Amino acid sequence: MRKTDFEFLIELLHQNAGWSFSEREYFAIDKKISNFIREKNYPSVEDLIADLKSGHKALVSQVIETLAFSDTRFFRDYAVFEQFENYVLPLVKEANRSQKKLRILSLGCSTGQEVYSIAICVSRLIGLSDWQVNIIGTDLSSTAIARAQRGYYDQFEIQTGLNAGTMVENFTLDGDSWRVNDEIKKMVEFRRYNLLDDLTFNEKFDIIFCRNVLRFFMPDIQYKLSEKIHDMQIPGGILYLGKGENIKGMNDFYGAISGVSCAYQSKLMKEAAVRLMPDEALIIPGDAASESGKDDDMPRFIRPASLTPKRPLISEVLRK
Amino acid sequence: MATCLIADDSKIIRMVLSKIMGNLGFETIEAEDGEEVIKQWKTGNLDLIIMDWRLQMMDGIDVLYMIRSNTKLKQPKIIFCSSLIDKAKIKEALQGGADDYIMKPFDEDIIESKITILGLL
Repeated sequence: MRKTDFEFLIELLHQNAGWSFSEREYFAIDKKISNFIREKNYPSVEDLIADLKSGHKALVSQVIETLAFSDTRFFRDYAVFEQFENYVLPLVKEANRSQKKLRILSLGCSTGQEVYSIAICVSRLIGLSDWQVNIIGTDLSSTAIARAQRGYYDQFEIQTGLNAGTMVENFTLDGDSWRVNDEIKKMVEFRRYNLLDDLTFNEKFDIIFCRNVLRFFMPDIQYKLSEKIHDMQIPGGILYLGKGENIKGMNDFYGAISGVSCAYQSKLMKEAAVRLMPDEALIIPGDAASESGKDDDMPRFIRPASLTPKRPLISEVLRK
Repeated sequence: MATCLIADDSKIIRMVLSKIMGNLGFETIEAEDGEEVIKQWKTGNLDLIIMDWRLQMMDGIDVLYMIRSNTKLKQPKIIFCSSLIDKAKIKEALQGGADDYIMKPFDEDIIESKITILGLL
């Protein structure tokens, strides 16, 4: 691909999706565009660029979807999922035990592997049979969302990140592919969603996964999206970012959770404090009891960090 | 450096797996049949065995049962790597004490993710 064509595509992504790619992504973009022109029978990249320049809106959308399509796998960053399943999920479950609801959002979920990994972790959590569990996956690409909704994975996809035990428990061989079992599938839903769009969800989320998504946006957009994602969460909710992601604005809305990889806890903003009801506060069992010396496993309402400087973090609870 | 025994009657499969495991930092040993696997296991030097279900002299599943029934000797992690793609076979291997099961064909990403899940990387 010529430098001018690459620069045109970078600008196209910036104008239409708010993304900021650098020359480091040249080879990844070149590979995706090469596949795209082969699939669409374009004679060359130059011909594709010429069509894009002529203002072909549907084509622009297709190219953006193609470039948005990210690599994914089951239980990506396995250690992160281990902590999520063994420590974070049980704590959030304890916090929500009065309302018996668990709401999880996965932004940029691609072809669904992350969402199904989350659902598998939730399904292994004991005692959720009478709970309302909603796991929603969103992605910019309608092609990826359609694949996620189908829930079929080929032999390479199913084996990357999944051990055989988890695979046979949650998937069924159907022809040459593995189909996700109904009990997992019924926990999840998928929607096409551009993070830049004004879309609201009916409820706020306890946990949001937004891994390896925000880093592609310009810093000023990252800040707006950090605020937007924060607005989607309950006070004290958990946000997962990708490994090493450094997002502008994150410190204003979230605090890192020491000892828990890639997880951040949403801060309570002052205006939200006025309307905070006890049910909305994060509950960490045993904390107040341990300070007072009482042997009491009743949950305590813990006020979020911005109001209570001594509020324990999940990591502190884990150390006890 | 952890030691991995690769057992398969196909020389090409042994060669490919040896290269992948070598890249992941393992010392590799190869075996062509089940009896050789048992012989190598008895040295007590193996951390991981990747073996086919169908092996000459002694099937992989019988090798598995023999290793898991003798707890006095070092118990390496065991992964099956087989073209038998069948839930019943996979469950049989796991219930017999296998740690994981790789369906052929495979690639480097699959091997790396399986080894990571086992905590060997």
